Amino acid sequence: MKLRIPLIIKVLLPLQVIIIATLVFAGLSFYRETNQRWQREMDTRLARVVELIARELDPALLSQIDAPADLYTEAYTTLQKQLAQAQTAANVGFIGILRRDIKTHRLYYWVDVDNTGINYPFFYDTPEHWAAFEDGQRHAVRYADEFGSYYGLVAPIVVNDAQGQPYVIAIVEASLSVEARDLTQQSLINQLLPLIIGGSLVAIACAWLATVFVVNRPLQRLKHGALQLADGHLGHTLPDDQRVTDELTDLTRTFNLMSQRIAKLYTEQSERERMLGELQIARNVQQALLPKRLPSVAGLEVAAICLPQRETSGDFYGVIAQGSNTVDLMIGDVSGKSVPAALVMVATYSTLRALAGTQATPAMILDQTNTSLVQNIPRSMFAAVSYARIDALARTLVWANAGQVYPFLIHSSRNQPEFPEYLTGRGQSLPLGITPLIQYEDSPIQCNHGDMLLFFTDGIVEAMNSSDEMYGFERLEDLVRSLPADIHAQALLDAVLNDVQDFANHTEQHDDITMLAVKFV
Amino acid sequence: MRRCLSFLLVGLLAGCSQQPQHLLRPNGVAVASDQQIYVSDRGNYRIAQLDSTGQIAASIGVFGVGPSNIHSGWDLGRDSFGRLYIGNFIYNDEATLVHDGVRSFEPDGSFVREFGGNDYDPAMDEPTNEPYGVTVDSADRIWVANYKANRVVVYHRDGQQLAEFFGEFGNGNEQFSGISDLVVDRERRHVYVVDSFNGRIQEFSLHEAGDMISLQFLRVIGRYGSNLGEFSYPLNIALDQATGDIYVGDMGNQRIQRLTHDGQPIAAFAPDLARWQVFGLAFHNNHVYAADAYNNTIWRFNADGSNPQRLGSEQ
Repeated sequence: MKLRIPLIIKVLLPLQVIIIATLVFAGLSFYRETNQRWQREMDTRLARVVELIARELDPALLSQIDAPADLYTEAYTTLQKQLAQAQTAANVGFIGILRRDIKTHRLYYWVDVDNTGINYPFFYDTPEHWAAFEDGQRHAVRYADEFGSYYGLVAPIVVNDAQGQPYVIAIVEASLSVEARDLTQQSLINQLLPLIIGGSLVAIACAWLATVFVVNRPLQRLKHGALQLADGHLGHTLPDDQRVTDELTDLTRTFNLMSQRIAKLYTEQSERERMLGELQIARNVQQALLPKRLPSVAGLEVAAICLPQRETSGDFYGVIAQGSNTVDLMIGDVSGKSVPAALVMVATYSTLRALAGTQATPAMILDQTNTSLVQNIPRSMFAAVSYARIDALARTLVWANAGQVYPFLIHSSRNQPEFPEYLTGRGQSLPLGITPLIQYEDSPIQCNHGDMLLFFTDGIVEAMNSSDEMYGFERLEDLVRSLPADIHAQALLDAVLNDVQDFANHTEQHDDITMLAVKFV
Repeated sequence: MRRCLSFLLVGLLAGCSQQPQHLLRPNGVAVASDQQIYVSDRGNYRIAQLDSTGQIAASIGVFGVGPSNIHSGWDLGRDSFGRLYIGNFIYNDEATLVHDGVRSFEPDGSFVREFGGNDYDPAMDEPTNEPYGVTVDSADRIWVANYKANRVVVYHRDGQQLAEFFGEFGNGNEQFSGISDLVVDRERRHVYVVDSFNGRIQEFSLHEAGDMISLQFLRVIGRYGSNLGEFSYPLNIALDQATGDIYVGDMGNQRIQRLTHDGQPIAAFAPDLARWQVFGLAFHNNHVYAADAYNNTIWRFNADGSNPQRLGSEQ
């Protein structure tokens, strides 16, 4: 089972652990340092006060105090007042003078600030108390009695005996209550604890808020935006605070850019699909215009190929039977590509088709078509057209050319001086639609049995290969020369097309390819 | 706020921890008719209940400075209804007394009330009461020995103050230097008051008329010293109701002295230890019970002081 851990937890949890650990560590360090400082200060105070009392106390006054009843004497009061003053000055918990009974090996209170009582037994003596009597040195003591636990210092009070020999008459003890110290430490903890807890809570809250507002909410907005995108709201953008610059705002801006580009691409794709659809319609219209089946004319073999390189073509051809022995041929190439060329092609072809049924000669048809196109198509566009009328019985050809590539006349007899022969025609040969100031001329040609005419557009000779070489006229001439004399019209077109495609070797071509072949049989 | 937090934490810790199974500086003891022993367990801030075998069976009271808490308990009394009375002291962070009074608890541990509660300002050098001794007489009246005030105050168990005696510091008759405890012998109409610093017991005759109580000085028993019949810082006293004998915790001399009702010393006894410290005393059913603050235990002696047995602590 995969465990889903929200990002906010992944970010916050380590952050919170670090914050709390840092605060606790800082608090503990402060607590330890404060306690150590307090302890050093207390030790210094204790040392000073026991030394002072041991040095300054009047032993003569001590000797006047012996029994509990002496509690009310002036000597006791005087000594106690001195101890109390020292206690107040040093701010310690207790100062008392203790004496010993060697016979019973017991310590008793002598004078102290708490009025404990003269000869009140001191039960809780330690070896350090006795050591102060024995070695006359200051000693640290620690003990607990019926009232609490204490730690402090004892120092000997030294006097001279009758022989002038020094001896320890008593010891002075200055001590502090461990409970008071514990309470002080507790008080410190009580001060630190709310700070640590409060600081942790504030830090956690800040971290949480920062994570929510800085990370979580922008991510939620991005998620919402992505869902909007997925729901089809292309171009959906997120609020972009221009005042802020960080990784998340970068991500937001990138998302917005991506969303806008997707919307644009989608629009373009839609437009492209729409256009493709329209182009397909245009192509269908074009294809509908071109002959679906070539007419059968006695004494003639007719074949045609039209390969548009785009959805629509600028090339066209037509084969129109005018009677049992006569047929009109046309082949054309409109300047430009795509829809505009297709539209001009349709206009040109429609005009030519309309005129084909009249008694006009090819040149007259071209003249009239030219006049119509000059008036109706954009200035920058034109159409190169060859128009021929063939009498199959007489084996004659009347041909006019308007800027189209010269067709080949392929004689059946190979021993001609020019083989194949270019039909160059007569008069001017500008394409249709350029200028009305032109008049085309008919060129009559007598053919023989077995002769073949090959009309083709420039897509054949301008076919390119991957080395940017053009197919050219020479290759076409060589091919035609290499073909057998009895080749049929359709086989001729297939041979030319195969040769061009082999030459191009799958290189994308930019011009349409159209061919029309007629053989006198 | 800080104090509240402090005690909240301590209370929380105390609540989470087990009750200690030993006594720490016990200084008051009372025994019930069913042999249950109640001890003012000062170091553990509670009243510990020991069964007849001496094992700690229950704890009463929770440490704290609140009105129902125990902060620093002293002597302990128990009335015929089983209600417990303990002298309670509250100290501040500087270990200065800021409040004292006698607090009562039902046997189930529920707090009842406080008698004679007084607040003290640590900044003021004002006299304090310090109720060290608590005794319940056979009429269920609560007698409180105020150590520092040298005063005895008597309360009805409902908290009503019935009488107040003494209050004069000194070493004369009816003057005291540290009243630490007292006992009331209603049968023989005697009241014995421990005059601790003066090393003596003062005996008074008791006169009762309904709730009216009066005392009349009879004699001083003992003096400072270490011989039989002498005392060094006596702190506690117990009464054998049957014989009228009194038992005095002679703390400074580390012994218990048994005396006749008119103060004639009978015997002194102690456990066989180099050191022990009598800080609480009770007599019940021919046994003397002594709280030993030095050894953190309760001693049970026969009435003649023989056969000391140790209770409430590890042997």
